[in-house]
Amino acid sequence: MTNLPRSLSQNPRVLRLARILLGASSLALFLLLWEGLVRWQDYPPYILPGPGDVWARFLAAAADGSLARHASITLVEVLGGLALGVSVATLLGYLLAKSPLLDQLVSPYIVALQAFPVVALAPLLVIWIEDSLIRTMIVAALVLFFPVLVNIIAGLRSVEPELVAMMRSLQATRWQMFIKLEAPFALPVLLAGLKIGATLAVIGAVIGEFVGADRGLGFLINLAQGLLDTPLMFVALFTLAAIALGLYGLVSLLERHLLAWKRAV
Amino acid sequence: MNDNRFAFSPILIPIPIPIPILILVLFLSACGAPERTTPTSTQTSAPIALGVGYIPSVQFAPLYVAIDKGYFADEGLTVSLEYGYETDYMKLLALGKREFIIASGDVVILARAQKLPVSYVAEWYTKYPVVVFSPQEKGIEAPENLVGKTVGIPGLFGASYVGWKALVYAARLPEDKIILKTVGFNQTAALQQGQVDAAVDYAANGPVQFQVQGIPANVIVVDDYMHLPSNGLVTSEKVMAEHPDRVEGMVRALLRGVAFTLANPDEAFQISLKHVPEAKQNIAMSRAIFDASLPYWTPKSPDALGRTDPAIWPETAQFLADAGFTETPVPTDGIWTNDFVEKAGVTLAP
Repeated sequence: MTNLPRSLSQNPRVLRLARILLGASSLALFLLLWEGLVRWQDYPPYILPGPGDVWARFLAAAADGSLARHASITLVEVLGGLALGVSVATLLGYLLAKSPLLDQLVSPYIVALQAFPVVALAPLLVIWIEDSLIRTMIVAALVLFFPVLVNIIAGLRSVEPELVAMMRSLQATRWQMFIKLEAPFALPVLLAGLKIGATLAVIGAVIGEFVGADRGLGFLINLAQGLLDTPLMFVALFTLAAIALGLYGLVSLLERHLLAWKRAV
Repeated sequence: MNDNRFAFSPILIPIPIPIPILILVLFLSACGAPERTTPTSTQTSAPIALGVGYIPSVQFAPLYVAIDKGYFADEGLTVSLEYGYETDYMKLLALGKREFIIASGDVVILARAQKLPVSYVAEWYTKYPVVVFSPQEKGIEAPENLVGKTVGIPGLFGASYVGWKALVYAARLPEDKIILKTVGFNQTAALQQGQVDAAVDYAANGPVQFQVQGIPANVIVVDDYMHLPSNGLVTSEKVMAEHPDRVEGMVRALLRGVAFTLANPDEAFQISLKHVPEAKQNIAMSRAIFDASLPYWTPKSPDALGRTDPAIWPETAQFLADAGFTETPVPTDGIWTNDFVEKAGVTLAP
C-alpha cells in the first residue's frame, strides 16, 4: 500500500475496497484451511463437520424457522443483559469513582462476587428466578458487570485534576461537571468496556441457557449435543459469533460517531 | 484498535491473515491429543478407560464391584472409569479413541442416526430409569392425571426428555394441555416450592430425596408404559470385529459385577463407598439411592441377565422418529447383539 501513488493510498474508496478484499480472502482462506483439515484427517461429521456440512445444516435450520427462533431469543437476552449490566455498572462505577470510602467498603464484595463462577451460580438462579428470560439476562449481566465496572471507574478517574479545578473555578454544578467534563473524558474507556461487555453478554446468555432454558442458541447447542448433531452445534456457535461480531460492530460505529471530536483534535 | 490494518469496517471485518493460521494450529493441537489406540492382536493388555455418565456415584456399584473383585482382571483387562457425558464418549468411541462406554440404548439409536458405527452388546439396566414423580397430595397417580398440570424437567434434551416423550407417546397424552417447564437439575426444589406439580427425574434421584425427607410421593414409571433400551455396554463395530475376546471379557466382567451386587447388596454398597468416599457424608441418602437402583438392575429371569429384548429396539426407533428425535426410523439391525452375553454365560444365582 505504501508503494502506491500517494493519491491512491489515501483514496477512501481504494482503502474500502482493499479492506473488503482482504476480509473476503481471509475468510476464504479460513474456509479452505478448515475443509483441508477435515479432508486431511478424514474427520467424520460428528467429530468435525466440514464447511459444506455446516452450511447444509444451517440452511435446514433456517428453512424450518428454528434457527431464527432460537437466535432471536438469545439476542433479546443479550441485549437485555447488556442494558442491565452496563446500567448497574455505570451507576455503581460513578459512585465508587467519586467516593473512596464507598469504594473501600463495597469493592471487596464486588471482587468476591466476580470470583464466584457463574456456571455454579446459574443453576441456583433457576430456582430463585422462575422466568427463564429474566434469569438469563441476569446471568449475562453478571458476566459482563465487573469488566465494564472497572472500565468506568478507570475512565472517570482519568479526568485530569487541572480540568476539574478549572471547572470548579468556573463554579460548575455537579451535573455540569459530569456532562461537560467527566462523561466526555470517560467515554473512550466506557465504549471500550462496552465492546468487551457486548461479547461477554453473549457468553453469559449461553451460560444461562445451558442450565435452564428451552429456547435460545445455548439450548440449541445442548439439544445438538444430545442428538450428536455436531453440524447443528457449529451452526449455533457461528450464529453466536455473528451476534457477538454484530454487537461489537455496532459499538464500534457508536464509538466512531461519539468520538469524532477526538479524531478532529 | 488504532492500527488501520485491523480497524473495524462497517462492511466487513478484515480478519488478519495470521488468525486463520492460529485457528488451524489450535485445531491441530486439539486434534493431536493423545490417542488411546485400539490394541492390535499382539497388544491385548492395553488399559481400558470405560466412559460412564456424569460423576462418581453408588449407582455405578456393579462396576466398582467388578474392579474390586478382580472380574476385569480375570479377563486380562485393566479397567478404570471415566466420568463425563455419554454423548461425548459416544463420539470418542466411534472415532476409535475409546473401546467401551456405558450408554443408554436410545442414545445408541441416535448415534446410529448420525452414522456412528457403535453397537450395544450387553444390557445393564433392565428398565429405563426415568420417572415422573410428585407429592402424594397432588393425586397424580397415572399419566392422565398430568393433563392440565405443570411438569418440571431438567431440559428439553437428554434421557429425561426422551423418557417424558416416551410417556406422552405411549399414554397418548395431549401435550398441548400439559405445561412443561424447564427447571434445570432442581426438580425436587421446584416441587417443594410449588413451581411445578410433578417433575421428570431419574428413579434413584428425586423420588429418593423425597423418601429420605419423609415426603410421600407418587411415582409414574416410564417403563410401565413404554419399554426403552436402557443403560448398557456399548462398543464400536471395529472393536467387535477385531477384538471379540475383549468384548466378551468386558461383558462377562460387567455381568458378574451386576450378579454379585444383586446377590450381595450390602457388600456391594460398601465397595462402592470406597470408590465414592463423598457418599459417606450422607450414608442414608446414598444407601437409599443404591437400594432404589437395584430393581433397575434386576433381570426378568436369572438367565436373562445382560440380554436385551429384541422387540424393543424397532419400537424405540419408531418412537424416536415419531417424536422428532430422528428424521426417519433408524434401522436397528446390527445396533444391538446378545451374542457376547450368550458367550459370557453369566446368570444370576437361583
